[in-house]
Amino acid sequence: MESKNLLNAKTRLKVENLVKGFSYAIGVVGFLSVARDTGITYNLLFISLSVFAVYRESRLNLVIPRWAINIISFLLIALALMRMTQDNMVVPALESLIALLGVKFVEEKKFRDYMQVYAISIFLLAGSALLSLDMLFLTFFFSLVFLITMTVVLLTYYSEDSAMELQASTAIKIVYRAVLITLISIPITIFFFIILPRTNYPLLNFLNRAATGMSGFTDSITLGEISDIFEDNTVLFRVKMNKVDDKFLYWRGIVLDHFDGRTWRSMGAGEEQKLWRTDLRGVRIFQSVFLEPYNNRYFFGLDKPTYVHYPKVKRFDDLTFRAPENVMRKIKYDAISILSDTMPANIAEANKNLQLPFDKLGTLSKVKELAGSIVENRKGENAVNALQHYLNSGAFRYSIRGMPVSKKPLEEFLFDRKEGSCEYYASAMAVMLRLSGIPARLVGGFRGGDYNDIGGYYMVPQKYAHVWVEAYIEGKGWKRIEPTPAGSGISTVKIRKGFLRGLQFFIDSINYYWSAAVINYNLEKQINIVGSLMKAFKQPSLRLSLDKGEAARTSLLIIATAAFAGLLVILLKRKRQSPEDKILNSFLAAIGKHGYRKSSSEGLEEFVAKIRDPHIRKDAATFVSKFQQFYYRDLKIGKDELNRLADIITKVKRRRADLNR
Amino acid sequence: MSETNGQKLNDIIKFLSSYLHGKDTALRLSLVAFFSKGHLLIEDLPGLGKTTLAIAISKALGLSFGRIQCTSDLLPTDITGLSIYKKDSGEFEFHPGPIFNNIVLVDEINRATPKTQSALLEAMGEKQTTIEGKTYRLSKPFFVIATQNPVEQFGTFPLPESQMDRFMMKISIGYVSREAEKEIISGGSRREELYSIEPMMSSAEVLQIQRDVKEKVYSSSKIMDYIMDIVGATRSSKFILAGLSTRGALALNSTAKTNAYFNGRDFVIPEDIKELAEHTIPHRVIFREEYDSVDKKEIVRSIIDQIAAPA
Repeated sequence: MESKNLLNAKTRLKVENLVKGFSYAIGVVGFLSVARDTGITYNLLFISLSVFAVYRESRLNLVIPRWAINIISFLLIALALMRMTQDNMVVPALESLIALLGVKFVEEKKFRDYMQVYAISIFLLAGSALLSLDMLFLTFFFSLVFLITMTVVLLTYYSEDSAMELQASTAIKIVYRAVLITLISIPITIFFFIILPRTNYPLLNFLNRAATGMSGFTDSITLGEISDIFEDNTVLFRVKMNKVDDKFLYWRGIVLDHFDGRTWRSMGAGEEQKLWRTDLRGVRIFQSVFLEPYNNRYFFGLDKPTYVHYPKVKRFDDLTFRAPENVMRKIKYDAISILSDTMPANIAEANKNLQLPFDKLGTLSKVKELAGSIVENRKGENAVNALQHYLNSGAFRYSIRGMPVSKKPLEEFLFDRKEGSCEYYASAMAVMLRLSGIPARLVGGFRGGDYNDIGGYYMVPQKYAHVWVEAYIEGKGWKRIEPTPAGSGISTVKIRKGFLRGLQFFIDSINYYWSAAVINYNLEKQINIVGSLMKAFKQPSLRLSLDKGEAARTSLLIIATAAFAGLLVILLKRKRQSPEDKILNSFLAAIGKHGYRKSSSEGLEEFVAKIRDPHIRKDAATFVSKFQQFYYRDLKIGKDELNRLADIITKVKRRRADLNR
Repeated sequence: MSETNGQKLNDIIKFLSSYLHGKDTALRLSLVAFFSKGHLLIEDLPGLGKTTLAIAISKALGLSFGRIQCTSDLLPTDITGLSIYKKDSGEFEFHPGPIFNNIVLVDEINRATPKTQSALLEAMGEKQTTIEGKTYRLSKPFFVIATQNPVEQFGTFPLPESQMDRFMMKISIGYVSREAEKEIISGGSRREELYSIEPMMSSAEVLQIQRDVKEKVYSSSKIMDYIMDIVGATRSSKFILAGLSTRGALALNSTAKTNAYFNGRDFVIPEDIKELAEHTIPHRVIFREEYDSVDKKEIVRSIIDQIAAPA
């Protein structure tokens, strides 16, 4: 067949085929919405079942008995229940839903089976929202709304008459209506999104505790365990702020103060801080941080963060901040940092950072010897500089491949291999400082960031995870030391140039706005919107003159509100129309197209008697006499009768087509 | 059931048409008034067949017929009847007047004195009459066809507006068409034949239909609203001094029901009201003097055309 024929309005399409095709499409959209998170086995199972289903439908004449299907479905559900744990409920549930969907595909489908396919697809989409809520969700959501709306219409045709054929023009009309419904649903969705009450905490988060959590950032650092680090490009957080010099881009996350020879841990983060620190001097930077879910609770801020605004945030003396529990969804917090590489501290407190591991392998004495030979007689800052110079001078190479896997990693790094990641540099530095009697500790976080000019924010991917050292210098306090050779920490990142980078940044901007506007829309913002609206109403003229941007936003909001109110009124009015009025109006509209208009004072019979065309008059008279039976008896028109009346209307419309021919 | 009875009524109209050339409409309207349990006022010139119409209805429906010719010296008792002293028994014996018939033709009602008129109108309204302190119920059904001559005004007592309201409908027969008139002339008056036609319906049947119209024909709330719209419009119209009374609204409803019944429906549609509006409304409302010369029916039509029909 030529492709032209597809466009021909007289082409007849089998409703059954349309329903089948679209139902598969719906199922596939539902599947795609979760495919990223579900296991490969289940994904393959679904795909093979779908392929088999299509094959069975088109080639094989095989009907799979319902009892077999039921048993398989039952087993799948049982399997899902067994695999569920308190921490992991969502993924097994989704996986078995996928499998069920595949089974449904294979089945010989009746009306309710199709409806089940749609229901499962919607469940899958809803479930996907528990795992990740990015822009793609919206795409899946609207495709499902559109497809299901359209297919349900077709399905009703199909259930009336399974052999029914549709003219292409009618099919296009149905598609057009479905698009319209989807489009109408968009403003309504936004409207309800804005007004529906929110909680400050997501209610369903308990469902997927273990679903997230792979991370480049860890709350402990172990040396000599893995030889290769894989660069993870996923962005962990985005920071809305003004661009600053690259040298300031140290994102402080955690302070590690306890070393047992191989692993650094955070033991004495210090007391929970009661008062805000006021002793830091430097440029104040305000940041809005959008943190992706990761299996930990540390907040990141530009070194030195002094203030983090988040409900129930815990703040510590060493300027680290923690969430009350692990971050399991996209969150947003505000932070204020003072760009300073030193931080005043009490010497007594600092002296707690001289701990060294019990030296049972005799490694440390060798390191101590080395440190002594580097430091010589220097004290304080000079000693620190000497040690930093030793590690930075070129004898050591930065590498994240083939690092020493050893029981004595530090020794191996310093004396044998002389290459390693920032963790080795920082550990070596801190240990040597401590051996020299200078309090030192590790700070874990991120170094660097890609500034997205479109969105005006820094993107910080996992691969930028970094460890540096803070050494205590008398009279100054904690000073940030970078033991890793200059530039090496971030120079491993090959920044893509040109178009691809631009595209990547553009896509990331969209994602950023999505999470800024949608994911983090909460009660507080709702209250803010109401508040600013009320303010705007109270003294509009003053505001208009003061702030043009604000005025524009306010008026936009007011216009939008008015539009929604209008839409709502129209919808309600339409809804108030009884089915009787509706069918009468569509009848009058159909007749009206032939040029006969009923004046408002005319009765129906009177109107019909005036129609000149005898065929139309006959149809119209039939309609009126049937319609009046109900209308003037104050009776509800039954479904069958409504259909019969609608048939007459279609007939009247057809007559027009005949005339046009 | 209504279907067949409605059909029967139409059969009657068809049958009587052969006796009353070209008076189908008048006949139909008269029957509507009759089955609505109302009374009819015919305003027309003499000699156009009013009496023939009344006789035809009474005979076809198998009802008794009485006639009163009004003059200025007609007394109330001439209508109602009176008690006469009987010498033999030494008692007063009541002699019922013409009003004790089912169908009463009151010719040239505006010639009777107001006193006589009111006696008649009381009987029409109450369906009973009080003579010498004793109340007599009138026969059922009871239907008055009154006529008045619109031209001859000398020595008449025009019915007051308030009394006009008691007539359910006011119609005029008008001149018949040339063809029909020619036929009348060639065939001669067939009034004599009318007296001998067989009744097509028993009086019990007639009463049953009257009851059915009242009870079985459904007038929806939409129709009620429509009637209220009409009533409201007459009250606020600039052409009209005094609009429809509540009795007028009732008349609109009951005539509409009868009309629906005639058309074989058991529910009222707006057309039932509109069709009869020219006969049910003009005589009940008082037009402003400045519009005296304008056709009253035309005004009523224009008012109704302003009102949205339900549907």
